[in-house]
Amino acid sequence: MPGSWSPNHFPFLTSDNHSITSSATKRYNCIAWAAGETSRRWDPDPQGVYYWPPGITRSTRIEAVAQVYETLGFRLCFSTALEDGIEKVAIYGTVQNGITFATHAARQLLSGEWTSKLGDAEDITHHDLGDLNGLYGEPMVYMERRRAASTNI
Amino acid sequence: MRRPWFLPIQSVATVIVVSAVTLLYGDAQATQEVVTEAPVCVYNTIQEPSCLLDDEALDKSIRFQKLLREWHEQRGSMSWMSDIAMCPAYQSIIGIGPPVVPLILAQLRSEGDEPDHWFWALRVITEVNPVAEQDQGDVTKMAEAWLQWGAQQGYAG
Repeated sequence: MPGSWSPNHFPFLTSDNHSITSSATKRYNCIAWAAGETSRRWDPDPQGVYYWPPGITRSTRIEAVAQVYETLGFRLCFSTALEDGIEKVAIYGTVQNGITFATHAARQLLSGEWTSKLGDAEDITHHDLGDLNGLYGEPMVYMERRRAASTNI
Repeated sequence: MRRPWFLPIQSVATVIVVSAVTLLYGDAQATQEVVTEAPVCVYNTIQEPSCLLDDEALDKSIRFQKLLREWHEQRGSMSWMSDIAMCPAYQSIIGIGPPVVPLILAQLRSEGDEPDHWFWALRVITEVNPVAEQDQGDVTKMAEAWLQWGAQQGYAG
């Protein structure tokens, strides 16, 4: 069954490379989902409407989003390969006028596949990071931390 | 000897005329009954609701629903609230100003546990923020806070 997102936004997402793992919801977004939270939206909107970790600049620049994951114990890395005991996130971005803005984040599962929340639509498991290239630009920053027992999913 | 056949013809003609009048009278009476009842039906089904509707409120509601549909189409799978809020239809909703607040609150109430992204618009239009800091990002609690604020301001609950 197709998800509630527009197929035009994700031209590389096919029925063979992803599966839907939740119903659509607005209760959390991709940044929260990659951080392991499902009860709040993490969003640096300038009106201060949604949650953003204290002490981090409210900006969608990719460095601000990377700092959010840094507060959760993630550090920059340069490989997306599955490593035993290591949890990874990938931050997608697009470049506008020389500035890189974050657009999305995905988290690696124990299987080596990735899990993503697509806007206000469903969560999906996708085989590769490139499956979501399109509306979200492409993965630009990778971060890792030691996998906690609670994130062994 | 020529008259006797004329009279019966005249009598037959009279019977035909009387029968026709009877039929016509009956139809006329039936028609009169329908016509007598019809204005009552028309009055009950058309006049009464039109007295209850406010044309201006109806126009606002129709415009709001149109902009809501356009906003859903425009925002697609955007992640950030700042992008979602910059959609032209969302900006048009904000542009309506204070009169749109009761419509937004009614829409928010109808969305139940899956409230849409109305908080930005409400905050910009009203210049208040009734959401407790610890509830930021919890959309269900945020909706509750705004609906409570709306009730305090006198918007229909």
